[in-house]
Amino acid sequence: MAAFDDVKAQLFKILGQNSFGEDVIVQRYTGTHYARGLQSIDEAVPGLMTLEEAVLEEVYNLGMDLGKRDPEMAFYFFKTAPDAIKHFSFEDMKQWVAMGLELFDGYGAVPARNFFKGITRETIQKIHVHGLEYEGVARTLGIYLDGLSGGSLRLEKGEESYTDTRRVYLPPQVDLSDDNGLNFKLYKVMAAHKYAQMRYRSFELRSKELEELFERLESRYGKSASQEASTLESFLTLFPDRAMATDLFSLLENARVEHALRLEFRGLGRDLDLVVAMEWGLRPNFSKLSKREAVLEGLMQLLTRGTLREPLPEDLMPVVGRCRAMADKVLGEMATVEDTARATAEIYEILEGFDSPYAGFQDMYHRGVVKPERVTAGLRETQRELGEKMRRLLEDLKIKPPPEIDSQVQHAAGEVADPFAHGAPLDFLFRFGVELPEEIKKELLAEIEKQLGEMGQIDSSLLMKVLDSAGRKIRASIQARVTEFQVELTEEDARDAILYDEWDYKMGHYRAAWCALKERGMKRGSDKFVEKTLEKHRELVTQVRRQFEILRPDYKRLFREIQGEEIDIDAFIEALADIKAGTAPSEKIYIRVDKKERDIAVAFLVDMSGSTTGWVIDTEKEALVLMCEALEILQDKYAIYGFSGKTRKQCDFYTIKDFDEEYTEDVKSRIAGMEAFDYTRMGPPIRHLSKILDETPAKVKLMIILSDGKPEDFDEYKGEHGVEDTRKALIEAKRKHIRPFCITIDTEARDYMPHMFGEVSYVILDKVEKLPRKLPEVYRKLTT
Amino acid sequence: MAHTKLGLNARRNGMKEMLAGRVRIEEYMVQQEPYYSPVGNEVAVFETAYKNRLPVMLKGPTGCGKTRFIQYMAYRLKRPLITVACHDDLTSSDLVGRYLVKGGETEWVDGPLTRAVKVGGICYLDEIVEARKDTTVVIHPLTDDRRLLPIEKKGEILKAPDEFMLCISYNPGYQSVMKDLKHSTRQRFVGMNFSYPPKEMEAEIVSHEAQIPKEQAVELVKLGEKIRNLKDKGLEEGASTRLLIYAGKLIKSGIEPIEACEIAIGNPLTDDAEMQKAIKELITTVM
Ligand SMILES: Nc1ncnc2c1ncn2[C@@H]1O[C@H](COP(=O)(O)OP(=O)(O)OP(=O)(O)O)[C@@H](O)[C@H]1O
Ligand SMILES: [Mg+2]
Repeated sequence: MAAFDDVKAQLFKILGQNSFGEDVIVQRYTGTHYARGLQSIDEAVPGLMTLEEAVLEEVYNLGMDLGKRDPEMAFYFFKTAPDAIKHFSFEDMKQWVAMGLELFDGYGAVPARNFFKGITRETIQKIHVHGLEYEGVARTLGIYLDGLSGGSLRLEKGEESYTDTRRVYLPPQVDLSDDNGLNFKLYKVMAAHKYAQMRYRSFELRSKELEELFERLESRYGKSASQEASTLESFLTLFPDRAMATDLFSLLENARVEHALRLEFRGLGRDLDLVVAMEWGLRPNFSKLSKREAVLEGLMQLLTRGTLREPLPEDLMPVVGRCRAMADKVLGEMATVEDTARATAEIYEILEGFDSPYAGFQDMYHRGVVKPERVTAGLRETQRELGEKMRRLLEDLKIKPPPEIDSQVQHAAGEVADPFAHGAPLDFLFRFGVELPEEIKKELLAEIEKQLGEMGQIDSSLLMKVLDSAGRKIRASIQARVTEFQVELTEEDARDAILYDEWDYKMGHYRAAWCALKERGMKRGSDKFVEKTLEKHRELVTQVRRQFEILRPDYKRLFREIQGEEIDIDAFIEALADIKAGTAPSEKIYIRVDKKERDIAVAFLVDMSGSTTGWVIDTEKEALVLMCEALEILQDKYAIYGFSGKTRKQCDFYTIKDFDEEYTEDVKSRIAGMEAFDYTRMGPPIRHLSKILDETPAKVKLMIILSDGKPEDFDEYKGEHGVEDTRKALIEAKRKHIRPFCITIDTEARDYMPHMFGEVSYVILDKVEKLPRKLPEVYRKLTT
Repeated sequence: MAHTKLGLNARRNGMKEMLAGRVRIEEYMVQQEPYYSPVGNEVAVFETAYKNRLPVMLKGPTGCGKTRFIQYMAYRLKRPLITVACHDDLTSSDLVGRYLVKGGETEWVDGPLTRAVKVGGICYLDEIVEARKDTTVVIHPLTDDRRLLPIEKKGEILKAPDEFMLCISYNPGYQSVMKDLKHSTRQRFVGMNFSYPPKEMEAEIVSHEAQIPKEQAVELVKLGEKIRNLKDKGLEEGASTRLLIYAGKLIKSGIEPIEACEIAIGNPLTDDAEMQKAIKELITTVM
């Protein structure tokens, strides 16, 4: 046990002072009282002395983290810690400390100090609730899944774990273990398992390879395969008991997929072992199961671990053994989903032999479930998108799509049965009855080759990727059609407006005074918006504030200056040498300590076009609020404008905050008032803002544009014309020494952004949600 | 502050040592053939540029083999290679040269650029954007068809011999507005784009550089590929070949593969806690 003096010395070392709090004088009706508020660190010592050496060490360590933020908070922690240890495991202690730190970061020292003064029932409850919630892991696992799949699978919350081939659904909560580390592993393995089902093509059965099996099943059970559903769904529908067939298929397919996963991703094997061990004890006893259910359970156990949890009933042993032997082929290195389908049919026949009820079989939790209808729906969506992409590609290639294309795209959406039924994958892509130029075919084939290297097998999601990236290349090299449609500008329209030129790329000249831009005020919105945003992004706000604190102008030693407080020895010696050598020395021989000024003016230009309605504009607004918080710290000059409009007659330019305006309540309510209006004619607002920036004195001028898509207006301002005019407007801005930077939320943006914005001046976000985090980050990067 | 100043002095002293002529030009010859495996036709392109006396700009993400390529080319062309890592305190005298006092006498000492011009070598200015703008202009007359290097302090003008070549490297990732390359500088170079080598080759390279078995290198490259998927989705740069090699080297020296990857790949790439966690999960998935 530690000695009093040792503990005290250690505390002093950590806390740096001997007492905390202050003495206060309290007036009561009984007279003046002297309330003892000042507490000596001695008070914390006896409790700590009761702790075991090893525990004490850990407590010191935790306290040290707290002490760095606020010694007084750490002091209360030390006082309460011995008591806390009675309630908490060491892991819990850590969480307790983390909760306190969160309070500290979010609300400051006082609530955090109070938090550590004692342990409330509420705190205990909070800490003792085990289990992980989806929200807590969504971002990490989303990134994880992006990394694995290269972005072709999106993570979403669902009632259980499954995939529809486009999205991966994970359950709202996982609480199988008291240890959240293990719960996390379980979540992770669930996600990886869904990825594996896509990676190893669990859902797109090749009907060509299964013709014989389909025929046999059709004649045996008298049902016929649907042309409407995916091959998987129609396969399962051939069985009289579709539910049992689905369970059996999933069981076998899970074994195949998990086996392949272990081979390709060796590390995941460890995690799989962990979660299997965790779930093993939860498997039902054979005695509780019907015969069919028990066979499936036994088969699953054998496929998973090679052993059984408990001995099988005598009579089932040989059957399960036979099933196990049949299932063997799904574990082969080259096994495909077609092998699984065949094994499913064989084992199904064995199960049929039992006269036994069947209430269902649940595979291990981490494997989730297979939902054939959702797979069909997902694949249908993909087919439709593929058709659309193909149609766009044809349009861009100026190949007149055959008149039937619409019905064909429609048809494609229905044709999920087996996209590859007709032969090679390219035939599938080219089934719209058009002959593609050779070089385009070559491009597509090359892309398929490349993607195959990454994805292993051809399936619809691979074709999507192929069309995306090949399409991008092809599109970049051709020009899109522009629909000619011009609007007259009357004198009426031009009144009170500022007229801007517009670039006509076809004619190669400006159309003079073409667009009428009007400055407009922004209406006020809810005064709660800013407050709510700050609350919603509390953590992020703290983080951003901290990051921007660091950027605050600080002092810097500038070498080789004409004047300064110190002599720059290097420069001085050089000058001496110059003198000796008889050349003119430089006079720049001083070191000046200078406040490194950030002479920056930044203007945000926000796309308020109709397409931003809802989600997008709201997120843009939230991002602006965060940005304002950050900029207030930096004291960079900043302004915020929005734009929208309809045709060249009406280009609206909204002022939300001018450069010389403070960040007032008024400004805040104008941010809140921003809403989506009409179209996105980008040229005029960029030109107008360039003019404003040009008149604003600053060394560095930045124009940050937030948009959700291509420039597009109701009239001819579309496609190439819009892109070219915007590009021109940006070039004009650059000539005025303004640096434009665009943040866009448009996944198609890769097609036109490089051209419009030059090589490096943009980022593309795949999800709007990222904007509030990204915007300050971009700004920080751009200006340091 | 004291710390940086010290570092600066050390750097300058190093420079002085070189300036003082204690380093002989032979030392700039690349003696042994550097290991470089060509990804495309970059070798031929570079040689063509060299023959035509065109300055070259190597563009590409960090750690994808630009420096290695230049070393290899210097070896192939049998020219001395003089590399300058640019930083924001680099002055034009650091490049061109200066007078030094030596035992009461002054002595002119050539800077690396002057030296490279004189011996007809390849001068490689690494990370040129980092240099101060007023420094960058000294290369302007060298990089148009005049190929001249004015040495103001001595009132001399050097004409670069045909063998001389100037190369700069430039990472076009995410650049700060504070440090962009001026167009007047940029447009004096022919640009060669570099990116990470294809999978198979990258595994070869990692295996060779880190001296680890091919199978292990394949795993590292697989991990690299998964992490590169995250570029633009929260990561600014994917894991470079260099980082993969680092991880390989750590593994080679006996560090657990997972830990090695975390140290060499996960930690350097991001400070975002959730991103780091996700990368860690990718690591434990692959390794
Ligand atoms: N094609 C290649 N052949 C051989 N080695 C390569 C190749 N590509 C990359 N490397 C290896 O990658 C590592 C990093 O390369 P290098 O240092 O040349 O990168 P860099 O492009 O100069 O990076 P930076 O921009 O950060 O300076 C080197 O160790 C090199 O061995
Ligand atoms: Mg380098």
